[in-house]
Order: sequence, then C-alpha cells, then structure tokens
Amino acid sequence: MRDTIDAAFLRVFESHAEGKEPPALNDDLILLESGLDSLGFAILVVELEEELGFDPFTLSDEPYYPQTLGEFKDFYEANTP
Amino acid sequence: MKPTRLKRLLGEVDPSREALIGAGAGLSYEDVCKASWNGPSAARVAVGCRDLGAVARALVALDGAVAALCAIPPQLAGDDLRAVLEQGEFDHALVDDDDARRSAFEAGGAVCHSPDEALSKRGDGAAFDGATEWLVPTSGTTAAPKLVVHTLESLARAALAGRNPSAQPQVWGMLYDLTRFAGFQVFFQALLSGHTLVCDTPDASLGARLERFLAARVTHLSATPTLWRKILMAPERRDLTLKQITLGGEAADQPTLTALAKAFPEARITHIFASTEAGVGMAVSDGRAGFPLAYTQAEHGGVEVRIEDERLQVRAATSASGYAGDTPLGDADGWVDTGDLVRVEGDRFHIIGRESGVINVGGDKVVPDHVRAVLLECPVVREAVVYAKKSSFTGALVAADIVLHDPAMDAGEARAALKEHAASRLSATQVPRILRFVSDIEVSSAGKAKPQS
Repeated sequence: MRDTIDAAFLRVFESHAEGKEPPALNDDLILLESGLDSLGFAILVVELEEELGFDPFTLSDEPYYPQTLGEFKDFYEANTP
Repeated sequence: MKPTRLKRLLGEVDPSREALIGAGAGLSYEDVCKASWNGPSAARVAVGCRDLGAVARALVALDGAVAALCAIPPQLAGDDLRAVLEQGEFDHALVDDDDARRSAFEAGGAVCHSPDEALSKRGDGAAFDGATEWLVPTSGTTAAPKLVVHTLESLARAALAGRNPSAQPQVWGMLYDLTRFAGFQVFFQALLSGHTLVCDTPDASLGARLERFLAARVTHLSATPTLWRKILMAPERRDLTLKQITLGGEAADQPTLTALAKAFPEARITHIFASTEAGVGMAVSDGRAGFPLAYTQAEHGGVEVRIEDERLQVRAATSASGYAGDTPLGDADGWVDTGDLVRVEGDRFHIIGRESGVINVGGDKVVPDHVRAVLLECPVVREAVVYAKKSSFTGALVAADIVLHDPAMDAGEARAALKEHAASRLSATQVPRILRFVSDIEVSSAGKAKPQS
C-alpha cells in the first residue's frame, strides 16, 4: 500500500507539476511543501481510488487533513475497508 | 384588440387536411377544431392525457374558453406533479381513465373529467374574455419544475411570425414532449401553417419513431444535438429524406453540424437558441457552430440579444410575463437574463452552458457543457456527459462518462487519447479527472444527456 501511494504520487507529480523536480519521498515530507497543490492531491486521491478501490477521505466521518506523507499513508492503512 | 384564438387560426386551414398522425387514428384539421369546452369560463384546466390527439384537441378547445390551461408532461409524477398542480391552482383536469393518475390530480384540488366528457362536439362552448394563460413547465432537471406563464401569442410567436396557412403541406416529425416549450414550438410551427405533424406515444423508442417518420414521409425534424447524434447512429435514419433539420435545447457543436450536413445533403440545417422563459430566441442556418456577433447589434425577428458579464440576455416584444405566483422575469427595461454563459470567438458568440450547472473546482468555475463540447471534438468519442464528483481537497472534480466510437477500443489507449486531447484544450481544473467508459448515455425527456447514477 505505501509503495502504491509513492508510485501514484510520483506519477501525478510528473503529469501535474510538469518540469518541477520531484521531492524525496519519506514519511516526514510536509505535503504542503511537496510541490503538489490541492488539485494535485484531489487527483492523487482519485487515482488511488482507481487502484485501491476506496477513498478514505469520503469513507471517514471525521474530516482529516494529513500534514505529512507518513500521516497520509497511515490514514489510508487505518481506513482500508 | 381581441386576443388571437388558436381555434380561429386552425380554422383557416383546409379542414380536410391531415393535422396529426399518431399511434392511434389520424386527425384532420376539422377533427382537431370541432371540440368545445363544456365547463366554466373562469376555469384553470390541467390537461393530463397521454394520447397526443386528445391533448391537441383539448388545447384547441380550451384556448379562448378558459382562464388558464396547462398540458402536464406524461412522465411527471410524485412530488414534481404535486408541485406543478399546486403552482397552477387548477380547479379542473382532463385525465385518461387511470385511477392512480386521477387521484393524483384530485389530490391537487382539481375536478377530473375524461376528455370525451369535457369536450363536446356541439355548441360554441364557453368564452373567456381575455387571453388564456398557457402555463408551460420548465424541464426542472435540478429542481422541481416551475410553470412559466405564456399566452398563445408569446408561446407561438416564432410560428405566428412565419405563418402561412396556404403553404404547400409539409410533414413534420415530433421528437419532443409536446407539453414542453420545444414541443410547443414544433406543434405550432407545423399546425399554424397547415402542415401534418407525426407523433408517437411518449414511451416509443427512437427506432420506432424513425420508422413511423419514414412511413409518413417526414421531411421536417427538430431535436437536440444529443438526440441528433443518436439519430445519426440509428440504421432507420438512412432512408429519411429530410429537407429541414433543426437543432435546439443545447448548444450545437461543429462535429454534429458537419455530420448532419454529410448524412442529409439536401437538408437545410438550422440551430436555434431558445429558453422557456424568454420565448423563442434566435436561429442561424450557415452550418457553423455559435451565432453571428451581429445578432447583438440589431433586432432579429422581434428579439434583441445582448451579452452582459459573459451572460446572455434577451428582450422580446412578447416574452413570458413571469412564473406562476408572480415572480417577474425581466428587469425594468424588459431584459431577461437567460442564465446562459457566452464566449465570444472572432465574429461568433458561443453559448457554453448554464450558469446554474457550474462545477466549482477549488474556486475555479467550470462549465460542464464547455468541457463536454471539447470532449465531443475528440475523434474517439461518440457521446459524453460531464458532471461533478465530490473531492475532499477541492470540493469537486470534473468527471465524465464517455461512449467510445469503437466499443472494443482498449480503455488505456482511449484514456491516453482523451487525456492528451483534453489537456491541450482545457485548463487543469477543467480537465475531467474521472473518466468512465459506458455503453450508452441516457437521454432525458427533454432530449438532453444525463449522467448514469
């Protein structure tokens, strides 16, 4: 799951933030500083839904805003149906 | 000045001519004109019959005989029907012999009659002093339908202007629901000039309709661009020899106009812009998408057009006067905001979609019809519908259902082709991020494409 998220992140980054250098992916990466904007994250979540079959952000009742890539991945793992 | 009466106008046509050919028996102009309303002249009458011949006879009998009339769309039921009956404050209804339907109208406060009982063939019937109100339901795709108050003169303005009851008879096909604004336009265009109108039951398939049109030698046909694309795909259309093709209800896109010109080389092809609120708007027959910018500089057929804040406004001598319940439609000078967004390109302006359907993607406003028009230009796409999908990051994202020309095409390849096409023509927020490939797209009763639920 964590690798799938990394791969999707890089794919979306490449197509959405064209020309920019992709960040080094680790759990401490601050999402807001990763170079992806909110449209980029919206696309990432949609692409992951295609691959994984679920969107934890719409499944969970509580609104959740992960700050780091690690938290983002944890949220996916914790909310796997 | 006395108001125009529909019965008097139709009485000027040769009575032996065929007026309607339908699923049941045909009706001549004499048949259509000989019914009269038996009830009180102050009545507000809802016409809820399914048989189009009965609806036509009722409209002719009721205009000039009652205070208000409204043809109720046959598929209207439940809350929408209740809302319409409440707005119209109907005290009488003409309903077929169907208990469920009858009780819905009775619950709305109307006394129900069968059409045969309420419309006699003798006597002069009642007469109403003023102009009868014609209440026309809006399509209400996103909210409950509203009733727009017309008179015969405002609803039939375009047909009255071009009226010629002694013209060589033509045969018109009806693809719209007669009870909607677009259906009325076809109805009046055909009957006020003494032509024959070919109808079908509301639930008939497109193939069955086209076969009936072929048998009756229909030459004049009006439909939405979505429906025209379906007609282009229907094998039954091959033997139709059309002389007049009209596109309305949605913006006509260039690929559809070009395909129609190729499939029906003898036909004149006209696309029109009209809204229920404003009455008929404008038409152009030069085969190019959009409308000439010159239309905004001078009056055309009693209609003025202007573009304000990228929105289309119209003003006409005989617009609808308001919604039932007295919400005025226009501003003090009579300009009506159509709620349609406009883009100017060179010497043309294009209607790119309804403001009310706008998708908000992280604060950027995306017009679904604009995105759809771009998708339809992609060579692999046969039909498309664009809608919003909720996103926790941007509020919404643009999603699209796509019908491919080649259903066997590899989904990955199709996705790549669409992505490239969309990315080169749309901004990042406009590009559909969710693509679903579907085998067919449902068409609403108003002839417009609907997303699958």
